[in-house]
Formats: sequence, structure tokens, C-alpha cells
Amino acid sequence: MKEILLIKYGEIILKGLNRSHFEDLLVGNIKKALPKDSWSCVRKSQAITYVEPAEGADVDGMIKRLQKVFGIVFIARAGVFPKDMDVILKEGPEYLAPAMETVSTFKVEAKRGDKQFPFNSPAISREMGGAVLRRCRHLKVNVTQPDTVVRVEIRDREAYVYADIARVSGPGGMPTGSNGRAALLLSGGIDSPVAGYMMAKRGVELCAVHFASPPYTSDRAKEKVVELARILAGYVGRYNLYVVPFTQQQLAIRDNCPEEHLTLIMRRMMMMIAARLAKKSGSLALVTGESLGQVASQTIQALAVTDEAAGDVPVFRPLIGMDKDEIVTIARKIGTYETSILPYEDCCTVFVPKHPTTKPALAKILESQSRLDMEYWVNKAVEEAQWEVIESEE
Amino acid sequence: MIYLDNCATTFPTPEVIRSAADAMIKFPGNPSSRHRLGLEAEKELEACRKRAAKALGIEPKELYFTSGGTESDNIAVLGGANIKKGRRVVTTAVEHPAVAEPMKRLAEQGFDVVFLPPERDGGVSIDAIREAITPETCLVSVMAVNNETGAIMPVDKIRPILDRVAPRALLHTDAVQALGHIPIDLKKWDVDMASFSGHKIHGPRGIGALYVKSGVTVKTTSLGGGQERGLRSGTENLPCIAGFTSALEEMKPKDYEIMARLKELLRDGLMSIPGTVQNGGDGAPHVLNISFPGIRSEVMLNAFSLRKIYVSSGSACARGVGSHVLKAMGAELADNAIRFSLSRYTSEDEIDKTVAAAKDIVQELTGRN
Repeated sequence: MKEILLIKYGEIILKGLNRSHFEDLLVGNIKKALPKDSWSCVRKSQAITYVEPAEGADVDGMIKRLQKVFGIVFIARAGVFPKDMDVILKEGPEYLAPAMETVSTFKVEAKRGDKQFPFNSPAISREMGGAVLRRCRHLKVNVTQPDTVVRVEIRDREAYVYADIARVSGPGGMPTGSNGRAALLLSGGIDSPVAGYMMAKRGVELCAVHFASPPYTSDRAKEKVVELARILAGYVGRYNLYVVPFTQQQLAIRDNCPEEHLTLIMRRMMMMIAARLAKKSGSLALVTGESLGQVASQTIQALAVTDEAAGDVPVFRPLIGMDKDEIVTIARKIGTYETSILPYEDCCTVFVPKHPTTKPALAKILESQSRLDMEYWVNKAVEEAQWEVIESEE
Repeated sequence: MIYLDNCATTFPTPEVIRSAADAMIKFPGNPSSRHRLGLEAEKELEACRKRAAKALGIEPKELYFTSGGTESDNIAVLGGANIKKGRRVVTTAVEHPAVAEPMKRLAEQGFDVVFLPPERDGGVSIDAIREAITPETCLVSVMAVNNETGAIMPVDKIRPILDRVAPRALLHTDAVQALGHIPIDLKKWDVDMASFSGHKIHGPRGIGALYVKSGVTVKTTSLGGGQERGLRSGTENLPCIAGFTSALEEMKPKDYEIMARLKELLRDGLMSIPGTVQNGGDGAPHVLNISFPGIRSEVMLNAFSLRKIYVSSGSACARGVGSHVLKAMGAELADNAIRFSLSRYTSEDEIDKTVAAAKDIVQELTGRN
């Protein structure tokens, strides 16, 4: 049985003159997401992208991968038939039968792209409805509120038959690369991978920045971050992870600045380093997993103080208005939660002041920060940062 | 690389690897098969049992091969507690989880399980054990050597107490860390059951043994094809049994001295660093537990690891959840503890380098303030 995947996208069809650009991006991302030899043709036509699986390809596996391609709203798996009404009526219901077992009512919607086809749409619907009823005795027709819609599409060369029940949803959003690149501050906790996912969903290409403080953080903590980065790569494709050695900087802050300001000055330094790396990597913004009020460094005042350090690079915080359990729900959905909760120290928890300032004034923090040669430490970190290419393992 | 985590696992010797590989090649049959290949495998299995039993100073029929220390402990504890004989079980608060967890199971089943706390040196006194044993006692399980502090327990002194107070009770010892590190005389200790592990004595992983004194019956917890005379079902792991047997035969009494001397060197070196504290007493010759004040275990371990020196933080602890053994001992610096565990292959040069590295690390991590 020859099958084809019909990929529908939502938002990008609204984008007017840019639409074709977005569609091309999506087609490119689809090709990248699928194993090279799994498809024989990917083409777009009338707001649908068609993927023809190669002979013997693992179609279920292809669908799984497509479910991670941003921009896709749903993926329908359709049977491909010759444009012969007899064949369609004979083999179509047979193809649909397994999926139809789970529903009790249906209707048929036909679309005749090829106006030369001898049956018009209402006639196709009527004939197909009868054929499905004869094959699946438990079904009834319901044209107002059917459990599922059976679709017959007569195209230029072939006809496609599928039921809505057999389609799966994609992640939605915008095609990766349609909204520039941003640098994600990836810590290893629950929040930052989710923040990366949220921005990637809006079409942002990622790079990631991780701060490592050996021996205060372990090899396993770094491995965990690499693993999280890999899970994200399943959605966004290949990208760069910068690992910034941060021990000396943290010790310098600890030894020179007032204890209650340690976390804020550390976060400011991270922002400065990340902003530098962002510019170096062609990223237009920083992304963090901060959520308002979650910890002392995430009050409005504290965020204002950290923001200032990023200079002219905007900081996106897609989780800012979310509760922890909402973040956890997404982390579970995208598959990062189990890795995030592995209990290794990250650099943010190494030197935690007992009584951190929650309502810092920028002037005071700048005063504390002036006890350090920030420029020296930021430069050193940027120079010593190592990068590696992150790819999904699937 | 300097490997000082031999309580976690040891490296197999060339002889062990050769024996295991040989058995894989020469005896591919299942010892239970009726044909010639099966018979050859069975003969090799029994030859190994004989040699291993000799190395342990016991009878071949008293030796049951298992999948490791954990399985041996599980069979001994769950199978050794017989509800008809009594409801009280005595053990220590510092047992390996392979004993502690089955003990918790017994408690859930209604047994009265007594977990004896250790003294400050990590050992449990014979007086405490004596006080805990009542006529109701059906099982006593006390490890021979503690895996975190090296503390040696008075396993050899328990039998006379049982004879007097609870003659029908069974006595088990987890001898996993004792084997190869202190002299073991199961007959003199007069225990009913003892657990051993292959990979702690340079043997393969996935293999261990349970000694069950002749005449003692233990109800098995592992049901199946009835191998190992019904005590431990499952096709015998002949390659690992062969490797384990070689490892047992390679142990020498002079190993104890080699390790004891190096441990002393290591202890003296580390204790010369200001502020360091030894957790536990002298104990077994291969374990040394030292706290470095002001440096959390995990950080110290990472710092050693960066220098390719591999040690342990006592138990798999994270985020302040420290060792239950050190906590039970009342050690104040439990969160700063590092366990160094030696093998007979550890060299003096490695000890010197470890001490030098420890000094460097302490200087680096605490010297700034």
C-alpha cells in the first residue's frame, strides 16, 4: 500500500507576501528532520506540504520526527490510489477500516483538484460514504457532528484517502529559522530547556550557553546539560553549545563582593558573557528560563538589574508568567523533565548567599560590582569558552 | 590515573580475565544439559566450586554461587528469617543497602527488627549486640567490615551469645568488604551464612557467593530451574564463576600488610593537612575515610577527578544528603567526607601523589579566604 504524508501548517499561511519564504523554510526543516533515505519527494502545493515516503521507509518513525518540526499543525497519513473511482471505492474503505474501528459516526468530504475527473465532489462523497458503510458495518453517517471526517482528495496524478482520526498533531509554532537566532542560557534545571523550546517554537534558531564551575560542578552535571541540549536539538536541529569555564569568576565574586549581592553580580556577569557570545554567534537575543518571583534573583527589581548587564541585547523570558507546575508540564511533554531532575549541582547553586537581596538597587549593585575587574573576567570567560555541535541522537 | 575507589569495584586481574574467557570458549554448554557439552560444563562448575571452597576454607557443598553480594544478602536475610522460630531480627544501622533494604521488608512483614547504632569509631560493640539478642531472636546479620569506614565488627564473638540465649537463631555476615582484606575464618566465627562478591576482589561483576553452613536450611527467594541445589535458580554463570575462582585463589595474606602500610602512609599524609578529621577507627586495611573541613564531598571528589584521581564521597550522596553510616556514627563533618579505598595493586607513589594532590586542592579551595 503506497502512502503519503500530508502536512498542514497554521499560522504561516497568514503571513502574506512572506508566506512562500516560510513554506520553503518549513520544507527545508522537514527534509532535515527526516532521515535522508526515508523520503522520495517533499513538495508544497496549496497550503499543504506532501512528503512521499521512500519504498520501505519507517513511516511511523517519520511521523514521530515530524511531530517535532515547528510550524506543523498536523500530519495526516493518507493512502495513495490511482484516479480510478472503482479502485478508490474498492480499496479506500479497506485502507480506512482499521482506523474507523474506534469511531461510530463519520461523514465524507471530497475535494476535486483535477476538474477533469468524471465525478464531482458531492458525487465522490456520496459514493465513498456508501462504500465505507458497506465495509464498516458499525458506522453511521452524521453530517453535522461526525466523530471523524473521511477525506478524498483528487489531485493531478493521484487520489488521496484518509480519515481525520488517523492524523496526529504537530508542535505548531513557526518554522525554525523564521525568526532569527537567540542564545539560550542553559543551566541544567527544569526551566531553561523549556524556555529554549518556547522560543524555538516561535521560529527562533538556538545556540546555547552553559556555565561550568569545576570542581564545584561535576562532569556528570555537564553531561546532563549536553543531554538536555540534545533533546532540544530534536526540535531545532543542529546548533552550538558554548561551555564557559566559570570557576575563577565565581571565586573572584565570592572573594570580593558583599555576600548578599553574590547571586546578582554572578547573573550580571553571566549576562555579559552570554551577550558577547551571542554577538559572536550571530544571535540577536538572550533567552533565560526565569519566572517572576520564583527565587530571590527573579524579582522585578532583580531582573531589571540583570537585564541592564545584557546591554543592547534583548533578553527573552518566555516563562516569566508561568507557574512551576505549568513549566513542569511542558518539560514532561518535550521530554526534558527526567533529565533535568537528575541531582547534580549547577553553577548557580554553588555559592548561595544566606540572605540574598530581593529588591536590589542598580546603583548599589554597580558599586559592589566595581570591586571586580568585570571586563577582565568577562573577556577571560569568552576567550576560554569551548563550543561543541549538538545534534539529536534520534 | 590513580584509582582509590576499590570498595566500589576493583579491576579484574589478567588471570581473572583469562579464566573467564577460557571458560567461555571451552565450556559453552549449559551445566544442566544432559549431553556431553553439558557434562563438561558441569564438571568445570564443580571443579571451580571445589577450588573456591578451598580458598574460603569451607566445604564445596556449603558454597552457592549467586549473581553477587546483593543477591547473597537478599537470600540470607529474607530466607534466613524464619517466622516459626521467632520474630526478632538483630542487625546494625550501618549495613549495606543489600542487607538494610531486605531488613526493612522484614519489618513490614511484622518482624521486630533492631538496627544497632555504631560507636563513634564506626563499629558496633559486642555489648550492644549481646543486649539486643533475646530468646525470640531468629536472625542476626552483622557485616564483617563496613564499606564506608572500614570498621571491623565483632562477628567472631556472636556465636557464644546465640548459643546461650537463642540457640536456634541463624547468624549471617555480609563479608563482601572483608574478603581479601582481613583474615576470614568462617568455621571459627561459626556463622551460618556469609555473603561474598566477585568484583570487590579483582574478580568479574555479576558473580558472588553465599556460604551456607552444612545442615542449615535456608528458604530460597529465587524460584526457577532449581540450580545451585535449589537455593539460587538460573543458569550458572560459568565464565564469571571461573574468573571469581581465580580471583579467590590469587588472594594472599601478605595483601593485608601491603594495604595496611599504604593506608598508614595515606592517613599520615592526609592528617598532616590542617583540619582534616578521620572518620572511624583503624579498621580494615583498605578503607580510609577522611573529612576535609569546608569542602563538600562532591566538590572534593570532582577536584580529585579532574586530577585523574578517583575516590568516593562515601556513598552516592547529592545535595547535602550525606552518608547514613557517618550520620549514624555522629560524625560532624559527614558532608565533607571522602572515602579512599586501596587495593593490593596500589603503589606508594600513588599514595604520595594523592596526598600531594589533596594538599593542592585544599589550598586552592580554602586557601583564598
